[in-house]
Parts: sequence; structure tokens; C-alpha cells
Amino acid sequence: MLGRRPADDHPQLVRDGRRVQPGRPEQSLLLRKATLAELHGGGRRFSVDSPDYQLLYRWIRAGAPADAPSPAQVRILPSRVTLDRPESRAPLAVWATWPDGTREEVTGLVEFRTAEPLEVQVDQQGVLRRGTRVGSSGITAQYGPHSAAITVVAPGPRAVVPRLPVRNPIDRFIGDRLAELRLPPSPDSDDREFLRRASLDTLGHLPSRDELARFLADRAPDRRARRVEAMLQDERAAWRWANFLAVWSGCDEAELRHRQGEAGGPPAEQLAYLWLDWLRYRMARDVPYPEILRGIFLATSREGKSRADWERQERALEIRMARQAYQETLYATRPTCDVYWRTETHSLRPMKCAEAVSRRFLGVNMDCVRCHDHPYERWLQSEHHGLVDILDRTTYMPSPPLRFAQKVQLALAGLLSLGLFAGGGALQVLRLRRQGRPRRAAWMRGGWGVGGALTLFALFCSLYLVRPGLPTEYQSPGLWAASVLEPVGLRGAPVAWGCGALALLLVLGVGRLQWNRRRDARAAFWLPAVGTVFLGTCLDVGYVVGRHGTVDRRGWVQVLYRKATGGETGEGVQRRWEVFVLDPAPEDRRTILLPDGTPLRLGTPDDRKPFLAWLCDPRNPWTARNFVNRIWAQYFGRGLVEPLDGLATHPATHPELLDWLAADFVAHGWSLRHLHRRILTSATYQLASRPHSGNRTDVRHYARFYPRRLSAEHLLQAVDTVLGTRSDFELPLPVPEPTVFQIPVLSPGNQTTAARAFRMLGRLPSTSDNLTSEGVLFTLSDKALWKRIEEPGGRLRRPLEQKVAPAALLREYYEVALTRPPDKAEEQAALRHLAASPSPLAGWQDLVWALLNTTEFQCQH
Amino acid sequence: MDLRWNRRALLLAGAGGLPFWAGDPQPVEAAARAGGRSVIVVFLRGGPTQLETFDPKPDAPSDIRGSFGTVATPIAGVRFCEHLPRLAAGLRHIAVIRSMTHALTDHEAGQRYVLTGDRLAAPRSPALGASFVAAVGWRVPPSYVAIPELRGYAGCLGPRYDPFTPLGDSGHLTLGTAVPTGPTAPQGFARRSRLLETLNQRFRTATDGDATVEEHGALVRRTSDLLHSEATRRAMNLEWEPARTRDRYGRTLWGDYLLLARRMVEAGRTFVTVVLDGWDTHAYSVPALERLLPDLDRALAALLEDLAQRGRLEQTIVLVLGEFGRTPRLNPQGGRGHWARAMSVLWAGGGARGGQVVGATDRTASEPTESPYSPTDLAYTLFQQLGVPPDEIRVSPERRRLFAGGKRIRELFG
Repeated sequence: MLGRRPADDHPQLVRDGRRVQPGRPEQSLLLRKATLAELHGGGRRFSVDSPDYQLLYRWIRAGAPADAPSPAQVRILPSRVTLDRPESRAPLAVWATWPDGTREEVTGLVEFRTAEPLEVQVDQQGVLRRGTRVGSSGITAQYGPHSAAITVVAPGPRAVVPRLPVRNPIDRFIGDRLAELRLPPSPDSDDREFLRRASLDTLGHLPSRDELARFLADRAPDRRARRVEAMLQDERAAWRWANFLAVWSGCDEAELRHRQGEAGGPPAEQLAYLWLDWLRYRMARDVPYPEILRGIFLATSREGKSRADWERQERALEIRMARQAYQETLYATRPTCDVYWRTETHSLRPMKCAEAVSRRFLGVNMDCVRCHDHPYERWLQSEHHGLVDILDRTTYMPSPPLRFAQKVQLALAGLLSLGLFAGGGALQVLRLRRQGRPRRAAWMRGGWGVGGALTLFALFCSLYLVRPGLPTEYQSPGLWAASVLEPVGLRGAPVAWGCGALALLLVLGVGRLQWNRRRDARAAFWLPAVGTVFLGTCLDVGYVVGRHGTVDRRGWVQVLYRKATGGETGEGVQRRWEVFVLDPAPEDRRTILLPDGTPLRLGTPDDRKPFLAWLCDPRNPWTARNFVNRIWAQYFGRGLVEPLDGLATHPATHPELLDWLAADFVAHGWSLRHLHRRILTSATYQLASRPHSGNRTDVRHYARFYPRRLSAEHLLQAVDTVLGTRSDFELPLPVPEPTVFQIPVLSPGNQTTAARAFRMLGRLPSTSDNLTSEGVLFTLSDKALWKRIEEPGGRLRRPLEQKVAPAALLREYYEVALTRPPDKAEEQAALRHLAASPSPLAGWQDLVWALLNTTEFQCQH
Repeated sequence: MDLRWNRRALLLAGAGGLPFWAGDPQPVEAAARAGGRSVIVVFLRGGPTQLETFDPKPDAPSDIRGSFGTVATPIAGVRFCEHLPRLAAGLRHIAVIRSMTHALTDHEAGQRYVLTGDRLAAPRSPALGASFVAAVGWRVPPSYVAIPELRGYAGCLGPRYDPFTPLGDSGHLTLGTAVPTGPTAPQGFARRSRLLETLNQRFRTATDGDATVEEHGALVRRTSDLLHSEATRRAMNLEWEPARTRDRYGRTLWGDYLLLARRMVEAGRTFVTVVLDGWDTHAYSVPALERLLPDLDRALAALLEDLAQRGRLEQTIVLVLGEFGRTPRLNPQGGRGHWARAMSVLWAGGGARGGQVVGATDRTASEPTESPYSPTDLAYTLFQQLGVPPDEIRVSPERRRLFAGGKRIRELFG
């Protein structure tokens, strides 16, 4: 019940006296929950009068002994079953082999499950039947923690079935399965269909008329391969896949806004854009997948830079962003993408962060394992906690406070400068005394002046000699004083005012003395000079001590400025937020097990490093398979494993293909472009979407290309292309030409971006379920979209003014929107409609509106 | 009946030029059996507290009782929170179920359970309204409406069973105000729709019954019909309502929602889900509840009174519920956490006897002490009252009974 290790399960079961009650077996939660006498998340497992119940009842009454031996192996016989005819039945037998070598049939004791009930069904006696669809299904027999699985095939009617042509190894896997199931594949797509499909998938754009004409004119047999290659090199492809990676890696504007609310800094839409651009830069250069993972995983804000350098860099970025003058060198060329952690770390939810990492990068869902071990899951709860611990110390917070050693350094620097100050003054006094000046005159004339100069010198020396990683402008006597005063409890406004008053008194006092003694020009020079330095220093001390203690302040000039301008005097200067890894605490030092049994020692300066190494190891069972599965789902509308985060628990429809694709991906240097190329050039991808009688019900064996509704991003882009307009998203930054895949990041539930996205696709989610009733309502009824059809500068106005022949204009619209010319019937209907319309403009508006709402336009096919 | 989407029916419907829902499984019989009742589910999203609404414990210690007083109802010994005086006075229409209980204290899971009636809260289970549409068929004015919205609850039935969502982005009615302009303007809309239908023909033939294509086409036709419907537009335009009625509902957002719900119910047999958000009061609950409760009180009491005056309460079932209750003890921040062991649900109309309390909780409103019922039981009873045999509601692909183990809440009708 709790996991897959009976030895651990047993104590859990019997310990608390609730789950198992030998005195009153019928009151045991184990039985009450399984019979649904109590609420049970897993539903009813058996009834009170079943043999299962009796068996468990007897076991509990006997005191729930823990002596059950574990079988060495469980097997299902026969190991391969074909249900050839509609009425075919086949019984399964499950055999357990015990450690001593004896074998025993346990068919009645196992739980059978089918992955695809519509294709193959199995009852609890292990009898197989066909479902309503042609196909195949994994059948699992669960015997306690042990399971065995076989594949059962329910093929189509006996007939000669054409083979899928083999253009690359993908087709071998898909074709073999189709042949086995006797599912006839649809024919190859025609060039127009292929171009539209591949352009939308690869570039996120409809093909332009030029591209279409050029492609159709090319009659070379390798034209598709060359076209694919050209598209993969296209800048738009980089944007399109960066957009996919951004959404997948969790770039959500709403989430960023939520987090950024506390942190200040650049607005969320700018951060989302940085994230996108960082990925775009890598897509354009085909950076290997592990490198991208490294950039995301090992991200810190400073990337090893000193705080001063980092802050300078951040400020430069902010200023350029605010001026709409962003360049990729400002963020995209950074080695790491720290924006990722700005949404992902949250002191309150390290667990969610770990689960997101597991879901996205491993394809493993942890919802069950969060609270308890689950019999069907490969991960244990302890491993889940381990992952949480790995990521727990990565934070997005105000910069870390100074460490003790840094404070000591600062204090020493302060002492050094004071020593120099005193020493220099004393030397000068001595010199004057030796010249025979009176004592008082020597002190007054020499000490202060030379001492002051030497102090300045000492300040600069100490700044550049002793740099504990602090921005230079933050190093000052005030800071040093603060580091001394703060630990003894002297802080706050009174100290600041006290320092200020002291400074003023001293300056006034010294000035008065000086003025009284010698009313000469030299005094007139020295007084303001010394006074300014002194006043500044004391104010600085006061400000630093009064505000934040040690680190964050921008010097007294800024205070004066703020006072003068009535600015944020009350707030003080905030510490900038940054992504960094907290130092390990002693209790962090421990060893955890990763789900495949790899031990990992925690408590290193950055625990993410060994985890990343494990993640990017070619032997990692999930990383590559998860990624190829997700890319596959982008192309085909469904993953080889569904759900996409079910890699550890759900069987693949084509396990060998998944393994091969992953291995091929790794073998080719984890190159995304190579993966795209493999898929795009396969005959499987290039099949027609038109079904025929033999494969209409197929939804997961790829006997044809399955049409699907375009995602919000795609649809928006396509609408823009057709209308010849550009949606104004109030993008944080001007987007470089050529027009890119536009919505920065639209994710489910992200109201604000959706609203900004010209309220157009309004609330279309960009999930796999792209088809929603709201989305359809939207494109049918939206007024903004309606107006944009005849927007000046769009595709419609100029041809109308120039009185272009309706048939030619119609052809243009059709070729742009549907990559084909209208057929006779369509042309007639359109022209009839135009003729009956009150004005050409109104007629065309209707026509384009109808075109944008057709299924053919709104679907990828 | 099986809720799995029936492609053959769809094809037949499309081929015959009928509205596609005419091909839904047995719509006519089901409608005939159904007795014509409508439903308004008022869903208080976030989990309203039972102690500060319908199950106050005035004698409990202050950290359980909370800081609100209580108000008497026409039934001796039954008290409501002091901020619900109108509902307390109108108790004769309402049956309060105080012993609703389940075990899912996560918002997502709890909402899924309560809104689908599915004990497993499975992610692919359809909402009650979707099951309703599947059972009785779809008609215009829409048979299933969500105000302001309810996304992601069509489950295995597919987007065709999403509710019609009348409110646009900024809260304005998409159809409700004045005469629509733009693409849905009445003049020419029929021609435009016909043109669209013509242009859709070729692809539809070419893809020859592909599920996604059919679904999209069906959605487009369904939505076009809605946009055509004068009756729907009229129902959604609150301007038709006398000012006095609007005043009675309070002229608040929630008041408008509930008034709109009443108009939709009047326009035709409808399942309306109204979502009133903001009940997740983890901290500083007093000011939040002082804002929420009077709004709810005024609007809901007006709705019930209105329905009763118009004689529609027999034909309309009003359910008020959240996903769970809240912890009996106040936390140090002055709020309450999630608590599913006890929650209060209101049932009004649809043949139920008003002016009664079903079940009871213990001294701290933490566990039901008599006749505990689950959300599955509630859904089971609801569908019985709608005339749809609840045992026949199944979900694909395994044809599991959605309300398995549900039982009738007998007290409601005793």
C-alpha cells in the first residue's frame, strides 16, 4: 500500500493499530477503505464477500504475520498475444518463481490493468478481449510490489496493407507497428500540405506566397529535406522553439509578476522577455541540451562576479530595457538564466519547485509521492524529499548580508585609515614643532590639513587594497563604523542624528577656533575643505548606521538629494534581490539516493552541480527520453508517452522508438536541430492527414497525421500573417525583424498576457487541449479582430482601392491562409457573396472573417 | 447512458443539416424523463467557513466561535451568522445540509470533487453541468452556462461540453448589452455564417470524420447558433429587468451574476454554475467576511425570493456550496485553514422541503454527528431530482459510474 518494498510496508501497516486490528479484523482500515466503508482515494478495490476480502481478513486475524517471502520473478504467459478476430478471447496466466526455484501460479491473486481499454480489455480473471478500436495495449499484472507486463495486439482485418515508406529509422519503428496491427497508413502529404505543416511547426508561421511558389517550383527529389534544413536555420525557428522552451521551463508572466511584487526590479514582462531571449540565443546556435540545462540549473545572478560588477551590469540592463534599447549582449549572452529561479524559488514552496523540476526535466510527476510512497510509482517519498533538499538552498532574496570575515576586513581597513590619519597628523605636528612653531599653531596648521590629505589617500588605498567583494561606492568610513557599531546594538535614527549633530558641532567648533587664530587666506581655504570632508564622513557614518547597518546605501550625497527632492526618504535604499545559493548548514550534510539508486552527497557549496551531472549523464533514464517525448508531442499533438509527465509510470506507445530517439539525440551531441531534422524528414511526419476507412479510428499509432487546433501563439501569428497586420502586444522591447513568433509568453491562466495579446485570442490556452468553446466564441465574435480585417495598412485596403480582380485577391487570401488556391465551389460561393454584399469592403470583411474561422485555417493538419 | 462522445451521432447530425446536438445520445427521451427542472449552482470558491455562515456555534469558546454574533431564523434553535439576516428570514425556502463531509482539503481536488460529484476527483471527470448536458441534450438558449466562467471541467466529454460563458474579458456581457455590432451584428450574420459553413465543407470532406475537425465544426455551429439567438441575447441583457428587481439583488457584481442566472433559467431549461470567488479566508477573515457575507446575503436571498414569487422554485434547484469548510479553531492570524470533514450546503427548490436543517455537527462544527452525506450523495440526489437516473451517468473510457456509491439525501424530501 505504501511503496514497493514489503519489508518497509509491513511495520507501517501494523504499527498504528488502525490499519490492521487483529482483534477486530473487520474494523481494520485496510479492509474498510478497500471496501469503501471509509472514503478512499483509490476507490473500491473489492467487496466484503470477495475472496480477496476473505484472504486479507484471515491474514489480519492471524495477527498480520510478516513472513511472506518475496518471489524472485513474476511472469505472464503467454508473453505475446494477438487477438486476431473481433470475438477473440485469450486467458493469461501469471507465474511467480520463488527464491528456492519452485514455481506457482498466482493468477487469481494479481491485479490486471490495461493501458488502453478501448483497444484491449482484461478482466480480473486475466481473460483478454478486444476493445472497439484497432490497436495494442500493455497489460500489467501486479503481484504485491512486483509487476510483469506484456503487449497485446488487436490488429485490423486481414488484408494486404501498404507499408509505410522508410525515409529514416523513425519510419521503421512506426511502420513495423502499423504492419503488425494491419493499419494501412494514409498516403504521403502533398507539397502544399507539407509546407504549411512544417512551417507552422518549425517556424510558427504560415508560409508566405513567395515561399510557397518557390517550393512548388522546385521539382528536385530532395526538396523537402532542403526546405527543412533552410527552416531550421531560420531565425524564426529559434524564436518559435525558444517560446516552447520558455513555456515548458515555467516562464509565466503572471507568476513572475507575483514574485517580482516583493522584489522590485524590472517589470515581469521584461523578465519574461529576457528568459525568452536567453533561450532564443541558444536555439539560434543549436546549443546542446545539457548546456541549456546547465545554464538554467546552475544559474546565479552574479555568476561569480563581484557584487559591484554584478550591480553595475544589472543597472545597465535596467536602464537599457527602460529605454527600449535592449541588445542580446545584455542578457542572452550571459552563461546562465537567473530569471528561471526568480519564479522557481520560494521560501514557502521548495516542494513545488522540486516537483516542477521533476515534471519538466525528467517527465516524472510527483503528485502522489509528495505525501506517501505509491505502489505504481518508481520514485519513493524519501527521494522526493531528497530532490527538495537539493534545490532548497537556491534562493531569490535580497543579497546575502556580509559574512563575519568581510566585516573584520572592513573594520581593519577602517582602522588602517584612522591610523594613517593620526600618524600623518602626528608627523606633521612633529615637523612644525621642530621648526619651532608654538604647539597650538603646529596642531592647528599642520595636523588637520596634512592629516586630511593623508586620510583621503588612506581611503583610496584601503578601497583598492582591501576589497571584500563590495562595490567601491559602498566602502566608506560610515560603513566601517557601522560594522563596528551595529553588532553592539547602536543603530537607527538616533545614532544617525547623533552623528550628524556631532559632525556639525565639530566643524563649527574647529572653524571658529581656526578663524579666531589666523584671519588669513590660508584659513579661508582650509576651512571649507576640511569641513566638507569631515561633514561628509560624519553624515555618512550617521546615514549608514541609521539606515541599514552594513551594506545597502548609496552614500550621503544621495541622502541629501533625496531630502532635497522629497523622494523616498522613509524607505531607505533596498538591497537588490539576487539569485544565490545559501551556505550549507551542518545538518545539510547527508547523502540521499536519487531515484535510480545513485547516491548523492549533499552539503557541498552548490548541491545543484552533482544533480546536474546526474541529470545530463547519458545513462540517466529520463532526461533524454523526456525531452524527445516533449518535442515529439509538439509535432504530433501527442507524446509517445502520455501524459507527458508520466514517464516513470506510463508505458510508451512505441517504447523502442522512444529509446532509439533518445539514444540518437544523445549520440548526436544532444542537438535539438538534429532531433527536429529527424522528425521532420520522416515519412511518418509527412503523411497526409486525410484518413481512410482503415485508419480513421486510429489516434496513437500514427497511421496518418492527426489534425489539431493551433495553439494561441500559432493562431495569433497566423491571423497576423493573413491580415497583413501586426498585433501590438505592448512588448517590452521592439522585436527585431523579420517578424518573430510574437506573443512573448502565453501560458494557461495567464490573464494579463492574454489580455495584452490584443484581447484577441483572449483566453485561448496554449496547452495541448487547444480546442475550447471560449476560443471558438472568441474568434467568431471578437470586435477587435473584426476591425483589424479592414485596418488601413492591412492586406485588404490597397487591393480594394486599386480594384484588383476579386478572383486574384481571393486566391491571395487563400494561398496565405490555407496554402492552396480556392477550388471552384469555394470561388463561386465567395464571388456570389461579394456580389450580394452592400459594398465590396463589407463583402470582403465577411469573407476574410469566414476564412479565419474555418476549421482548415484554425487547425494544423 | 454513456457520456463518451459519439462520433456517429455527430456525423449523422452534420450530414442531415440538423443542429449537432440533435444527434446526442437519446436526447428526446432523456428530456422527457427529466421533468424539466433547471439548476443554479452557486459555487463559493475557496471554501467558505461553516462557522461564520450556516452552522455557527454561539456557545463554543471564542477561538472556535469567532467574533461574529448570530441571528435567529424562523425555526427555533437554528441560527445563522449575524451577517446573513435576509437568508435567515427566508429560511422557509431553504434546506440547510450541515453534515456534508469529505476528505479532500486541497482546493484543486476539493473543487473537482464537489463540482463533478466524482469521489475520485479524477482530472478527466466532467462537471455536473456537462453531465447534465450529456443527459438532456443541448439547446438554445444555452442549456449550460457558467458565470463568470468555469474552465477545464468538460473532462472526457470534450470541449463541446464546456459551459457557455457569457462574460467577456472585462466583465462586460458579450451579448447582453444593446444590439451587437461587429461580426455578430444581426444584419448579415446569417449570411456570414452560411458562408463560413460553405467554406468549411471542403476540409470537412477531406478529413472525412476526423474527431478534432468534427469537434471544431460542431463548436462553431453551436456558437453561431448561440450568437444568432435573440432569446439568448434577451435573457442576457439585464437592462430588461425592472429597476426595482435590480435594486433588490443589490446591483453588485454578485447580484448581477445571480440575476443573470435567474434570467437564463427562465429562458429555458438550464444548468447554471455561478462562481463567487474569495472565500479562502486564511488570515484576517473578519474584514473579508464582513465584505463577502452581506453581498451574498442580499443577492442570494433576493434570488430565492424572486424565484418563489415567480413560482419557479419548484422547477429550479438552487445549490449553494464551496469545496470544503474551514477549521473549527481560528489560527493566530485570525483566519481558518482548510477543513473538509464538515461543511454546510444549501439546497432550495426542486421538490425539497424548505425550512429544515439536515444533519448536525458536533460542538465545534468539526465532524458531522448525524446523517453525514458526501458530495457524491448530493450529486446523486441532484440528478434524481432532475429526472436523470444517476446510476446511468458513466465516464469513458472505462465506463465507470460517476456517482458510484451515492445515496439519496432522503431528509430533503421527507
